[in-house]
Amino acid sequence: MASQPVDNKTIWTVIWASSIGTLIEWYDFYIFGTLTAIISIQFFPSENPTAALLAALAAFAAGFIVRPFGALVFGRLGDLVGRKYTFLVTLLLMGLSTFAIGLIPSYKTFAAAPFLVLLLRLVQGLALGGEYGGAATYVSEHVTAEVRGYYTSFIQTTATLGLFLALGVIWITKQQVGTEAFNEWGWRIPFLISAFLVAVSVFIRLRMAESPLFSKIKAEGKISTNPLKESFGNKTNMKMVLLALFGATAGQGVVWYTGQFYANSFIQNTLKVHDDQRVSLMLIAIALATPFFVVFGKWSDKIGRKWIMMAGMLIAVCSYMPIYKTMDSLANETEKTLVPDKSTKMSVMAASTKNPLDIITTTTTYNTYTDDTYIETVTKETKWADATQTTIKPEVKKTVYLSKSNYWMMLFLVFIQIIFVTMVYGPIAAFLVELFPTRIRYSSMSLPYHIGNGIFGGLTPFIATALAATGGAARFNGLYYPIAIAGICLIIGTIFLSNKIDENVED
Amino acid sequence: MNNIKKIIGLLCIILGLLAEYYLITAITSGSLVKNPEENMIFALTVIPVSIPVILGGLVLFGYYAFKGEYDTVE
Repeated sequence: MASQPVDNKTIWTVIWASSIGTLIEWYDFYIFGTLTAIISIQFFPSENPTAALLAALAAFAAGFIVRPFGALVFGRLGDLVGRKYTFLVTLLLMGLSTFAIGLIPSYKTFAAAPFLVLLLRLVQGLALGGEYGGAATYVSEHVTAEVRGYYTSFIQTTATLGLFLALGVIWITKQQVGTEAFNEWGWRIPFLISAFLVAVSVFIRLRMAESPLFSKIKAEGKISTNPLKESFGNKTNMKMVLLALFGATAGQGVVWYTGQFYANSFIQNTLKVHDDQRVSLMLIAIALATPFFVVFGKWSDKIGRKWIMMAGMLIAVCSYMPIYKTMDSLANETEKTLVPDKSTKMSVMAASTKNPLDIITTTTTYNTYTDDTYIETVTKETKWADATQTTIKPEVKKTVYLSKSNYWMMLFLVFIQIIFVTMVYGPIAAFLVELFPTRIRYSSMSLPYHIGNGIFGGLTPFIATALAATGGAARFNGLYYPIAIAGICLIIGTIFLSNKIDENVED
Repeated sequence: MNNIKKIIGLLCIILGLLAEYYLITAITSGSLVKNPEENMIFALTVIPVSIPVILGGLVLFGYYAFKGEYDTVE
C-alpha cells in the first residue's frame, strides 16, 4: 500500500487529473488515424491516391512504432525525476504536435508538408509512449491493493474514450461545416481544439503533488541511477518484462485494435456502410461498453487480474470468425433477396469537363432487399471520343444503408467485441504495476505495454488489411493475425502468469 | 507444470525463428502484399521492428522458459 494513507478526495483528484490528460493524448493520437484518408489528400502527392493513402498509413504505423521508444525515453525520465513532471512533458509534446499538424499548409502550397507531418506524427508517438505508464503508475502509487484494479481502471477507460471523443468531434464538425468544407479545411478543427484541451489538462496536472511512493524512495535516496539498465539489463526484471509482453500485453493489444479499429475499418471499407450509420453505431457501442472497464477492473481486485484477461482473450479467439461473418451477412447483398418492385436504376449521360467529346455515363442503382437493407450503387463509366484511348475500369461507389434490425445487430456485434477489450484491458494497469518495483516501474511497465499495444496491436489494421486484400474468400483472412497473437498470448499467460495480487507495491 | 513450461519455451524458440523467417521471405518476395509501395512500407517498418521483438523477445523468452528460469516465478 501507499506509504501514507491518501484520503478519498485526493484519490479522485489524482484519477481525474491523470485520466483527463491521458484521454486527451489518446484523442490527439486517434484523430490522425481517423482522418487518414483526408490527410493523405492534403499532405501527400495526390497523383496516386493509393500511394498517398499508403504514405499516410506509413505515418500511422510510424506513430505506433515509435511508441516503445517514447516508453524508453520518458520511462527513464519518470524513474529519475518523477512521474508528475514527466507526464506533464508528454502531454505538452502531444498537444503542441497535434496543434501544429492542424496548422500546416497543404502539400499544394508547401512542398515540405509531408515530411513535417511525418515528423510531428513521430513526436505524437513518442509522447504517447511516455504518457500511459506515467498515468497508470501515478494513480496506482496513491492507492491500496484492495482497490488498485478499480482505481487504475479509470485510466484504462481513457483510450476508448479518446477514440470516442475523436470520432464524436470529427462527426460533429462534419455536420456543422458540411462534408465538402470539412474535407477542404474543416478537418483542421479537431486538431486545433487539442490546444485548448491540453491547456486545461496541464493546468490541472500542475496543481498535483508527486506520487507518494516515488517521493518516499527519493527521500530515502533509493532512486535508480540507471533505470533502463536495471529494467532491461537485469535478467530477473527482463524475464518479467518478456512475460508481461508475451503473456498479456501483446494479446491485449490485438484484441483492443480488432474490437475497435479493425471493426470500424471493416464496416467502412469492406461492408461500405453509410458513414452516419457507421459512426453512430461505433459511438453507441463504445459508450455502452466503456463502464465495463471499471467493472472488470474492480472485479480483478476480488478474483485476481489473470483470469479475467485470459477469459477475454479466449472468448475473442473463439468468436472473431463467427462475429465477422455475421457482420458481413448483415450488409452483403449476395446473401440477401432483392425486392424488384422497390429497386430502381437510372442512367445520366454527360459530357466530360476535361474533353466535351468524351461521354461520362453515371448509373445509379437503388436496390432494396427483403430485410429492408437498401444499397445505392453509383457507377461512372467514360466513353472516350478517341477510340484508340485505353478503356479505364468504371468507377463504382457502393453505399449500404442497414435496416433498423441489422443496424442494432451490427451495433451489438461491435459492442461485444469492445466487451472483450474491457476484459483484457480493464485489469492490465494494476497487473503491470504489481509486476515491477517502484524504482524502475515507469520504465519497466511502459515498454511491454507499448510493444504489445503499439506494435502488435497498432499494426493490426495494417497487417489484417494486407492479409484480406487478396479478395474473395480471403476477406476474413485478416482475422488470422489477431487470432494467432491472442492465442499464443493466451497459452503463455495461462501457464506462466500468477493470479496472485501483489499486496505491497512499495518495493 | 514446469515440464510444460519447458516445452512451451522450446515451441516459442521455434515459433520465433519460423515467424521471422516467414515474415522476411514473405515481405521480400512480395507474396504477403502485391502492391509494391505497400510492400516497401512493410519492409521498412515491420522487418526492423520484428527482429528485436520476435527474435530478441520471443526467442529469448522461450530460451528462459526452456532453461527453467520461470519455474519459480510467482
